[in-house]
Amino acid sequence: MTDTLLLMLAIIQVFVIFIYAGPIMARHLLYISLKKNPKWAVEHANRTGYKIADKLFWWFSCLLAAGVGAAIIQYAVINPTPSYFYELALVPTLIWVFGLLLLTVYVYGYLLKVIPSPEVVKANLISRRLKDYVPLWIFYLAYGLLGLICLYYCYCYSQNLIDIDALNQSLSWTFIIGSITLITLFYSLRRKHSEFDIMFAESGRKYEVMVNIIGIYIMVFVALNKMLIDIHQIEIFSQSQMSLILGLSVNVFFMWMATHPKSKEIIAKYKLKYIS
Amino acid sequence: MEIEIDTQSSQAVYLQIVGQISRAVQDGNLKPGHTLPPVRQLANDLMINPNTVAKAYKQLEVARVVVGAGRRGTFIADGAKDYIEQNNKLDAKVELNNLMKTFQGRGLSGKEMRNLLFDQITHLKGVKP
Repeated sequence: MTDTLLLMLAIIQVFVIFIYAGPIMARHLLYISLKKNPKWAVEHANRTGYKIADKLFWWFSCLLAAGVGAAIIQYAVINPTPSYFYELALVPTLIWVFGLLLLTVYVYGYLLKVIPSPEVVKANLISRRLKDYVPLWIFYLAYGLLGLICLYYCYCYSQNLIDIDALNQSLSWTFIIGSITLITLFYSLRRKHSEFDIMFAESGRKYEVMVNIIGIYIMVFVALNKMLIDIHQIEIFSQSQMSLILGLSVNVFFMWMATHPKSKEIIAKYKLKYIS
Repeated sequence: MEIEIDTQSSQAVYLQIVGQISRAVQDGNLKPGHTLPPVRQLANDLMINPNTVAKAYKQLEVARVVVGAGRRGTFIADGAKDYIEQNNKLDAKVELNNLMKTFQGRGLSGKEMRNLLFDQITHLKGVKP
């Protein structure tokens, strides 16, 4: 049953993330960055950097979709291997998210620097600190739990309950996930404009922070589940079930963002104003 | 509540920030207890140096318009509106005094200055008699 659902999720992600919602999210990012100086952006609508970024990301999504499609045919039709289904449902999405992170770095680290500051700059006098949106203990609890999981792994290793590979794998996974979620959370607070602000007006930033916090807690839950399997052989959710939960969350989130009426408005404005 | 700064203006950026926050308090758009954005956030949003924002906040703190509470943030002070009005009156007094001294030096009598002042006030739009 889980394998069938995973295969369905692997197929759905091709359409939802790589073909439909993904390129929309990338365009949101490009559009938001142009809000630095909209007047300049309109006057220089023929600049190439944004077009190249837009096209490259579209090709990246298409190639990923083709790759996953080929893998699905190989492991589901030609040579049925259900053990690969959970990887098919999750790994391509993670690769895509990594691609989006690279695009973000390229846009904010290079493209945005080319745009000059406008003569008149506006700013909101509403504070955007983490504690303005959620109680800080929620944030500390999540990272505290991740820290405790790491400590427990170290303790179990010292007691010879797990081998060095399990320790390395869990510590590096926790470090990578912890760093990415932390950077994403603070980036969502730091940036001046956000697609959430456009979609949900004044509550936008609060929703963005809450989505990030939910993401962090899902990661904590994954780490906890893995810890119980690795050390105590207690399986609340299998690896396949976890992939299913994670994959579904990501797909639902992307669909929610891409199908929002304001999202279509952003894309229409972006095409009309900034791309010639 | 938004503020905007004009980088081409002859007025210093920090004074533009001070002026706009003070005006927002006077207009009732910023109420006592409102948390102002952290220095780094406002500097990032306005694309200016954090020291410029820090200087503006310091000036507002000296004028008792805001209260700096360290890591807890910077808040609009209780009675900020009254302090701004007091400061404005004090500034007007000082500037009028300087102006009158200049005119006195040019030989204008007290009666002439008073007449000129009343004359100008009646021509000024939006000023209550």
